[in-house]
Amino acid sequence: MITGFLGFMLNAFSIIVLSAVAVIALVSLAFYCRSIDFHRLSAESRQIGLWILVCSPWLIGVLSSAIVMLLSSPSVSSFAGSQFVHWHHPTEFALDSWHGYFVSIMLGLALLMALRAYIRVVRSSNTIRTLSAMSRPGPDGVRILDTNTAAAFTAGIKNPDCYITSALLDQISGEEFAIIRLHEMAHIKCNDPVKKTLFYLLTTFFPAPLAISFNQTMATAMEQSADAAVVSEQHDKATIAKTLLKVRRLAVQEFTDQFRLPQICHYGLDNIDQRIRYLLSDNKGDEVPMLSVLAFIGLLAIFCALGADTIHHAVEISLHHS
Amino acid sequence: MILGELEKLVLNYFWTVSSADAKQVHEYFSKQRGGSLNTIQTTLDRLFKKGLLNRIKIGHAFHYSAASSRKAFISQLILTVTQDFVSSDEDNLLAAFVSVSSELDDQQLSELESTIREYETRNLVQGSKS
Repeated sequence: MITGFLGFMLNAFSIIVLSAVAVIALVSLAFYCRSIDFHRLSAESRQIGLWILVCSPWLIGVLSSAIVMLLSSPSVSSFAGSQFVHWHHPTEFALDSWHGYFVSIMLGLALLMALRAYIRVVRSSNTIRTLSAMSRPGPDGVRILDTNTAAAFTAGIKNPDCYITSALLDQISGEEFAIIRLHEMAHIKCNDPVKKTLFYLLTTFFPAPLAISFNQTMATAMEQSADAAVVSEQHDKATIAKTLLKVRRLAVQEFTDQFRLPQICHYGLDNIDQRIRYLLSDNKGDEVPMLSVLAFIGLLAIFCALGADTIHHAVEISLHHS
Repeated sequence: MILGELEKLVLNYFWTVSSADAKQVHEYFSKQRGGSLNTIQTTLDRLFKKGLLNRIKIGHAFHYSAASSRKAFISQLILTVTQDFVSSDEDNLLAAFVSVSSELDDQQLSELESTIREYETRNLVQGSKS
């Protein structure tokens, strides 16, 4: 039996995990029922919405844990709320109890998923380092990769760089190069590679199809924001759209010539299609209704606190009776 | 793909020569940076196991050559990092200007071109009216 502060923390952690699992299940259900629709939001709002969504299990978990542990404290035991929510052993935690098993299994699973995602990130970083070593300095701070493949991208976590291949550079005009450069520099300015990595790590706790969809939506929103950054630099929208199409045609042509393209099942519309239509559209979408979202998170935290307490009592009563 | 410093140097060397055995590679690098023949042999073996070098046995020694050209190797690396990570379990550390895994066919691309032309025409008409 673990008692005192450590016991308190382990009890709090078990409520966080219980709530997080419930929220992940709820979000998954809402997503499958198509209750969550990001497409009517602007690119920036979509990013905010997605961050809230992937952080919500842990945010709500911490909130519900705080509610339960606060109401279980002896100083607030007279408060009406403690009649509904009461963790009767807040400072005692038995490792060989159902709490112990539950926390251990969940912690093990979380560590396994985080480790798996971390290994992928490290592997990717190594490939990017090799690419960086193969590149040479180019005009306006970009790095050039000598190859027949047409591509332009930003990569790296610590010191991200903008890469452009010699094959692409040879086939684009000065204005097109400026557009691509500004687009990639916008990614660097916004720390998009780091954000994408962090977001990816957070989505690993969701079911795979959901995680794929979240990552795709986030990637598209980031690309659309970077396109908007190019527009803000006085570039014509139609020229940006044409550059996008041109690079897309060049890139895919080169890749199909040399390699077999990976077969992918897209959930929504294609990235380029969405980007061009969004770029040319006057309607940039709605903002995130922050007040409603915060109210919903608060309500969900109370619901999770009640749920965690109910499950806790139900399991303990059934164990005592058996 | 994880490549050590010596592995990168050796790979670069094989992009400048058609083929070489461990002794020839060691001779080349011993002038530049020193190191034992055993280290070179291990490096060559590692590069072979990674699929970056080919080898054939002539007499008692293996003769190595680059499995692909420098350009093809870089293309392969780009493909690895620009693959849509969310569907191929791969990279998320980068933001590509266009995704190489885009699945638009020629007809869809033509439709997009029409959309851009319509936008330009609309803007031109609006510009002449104002």
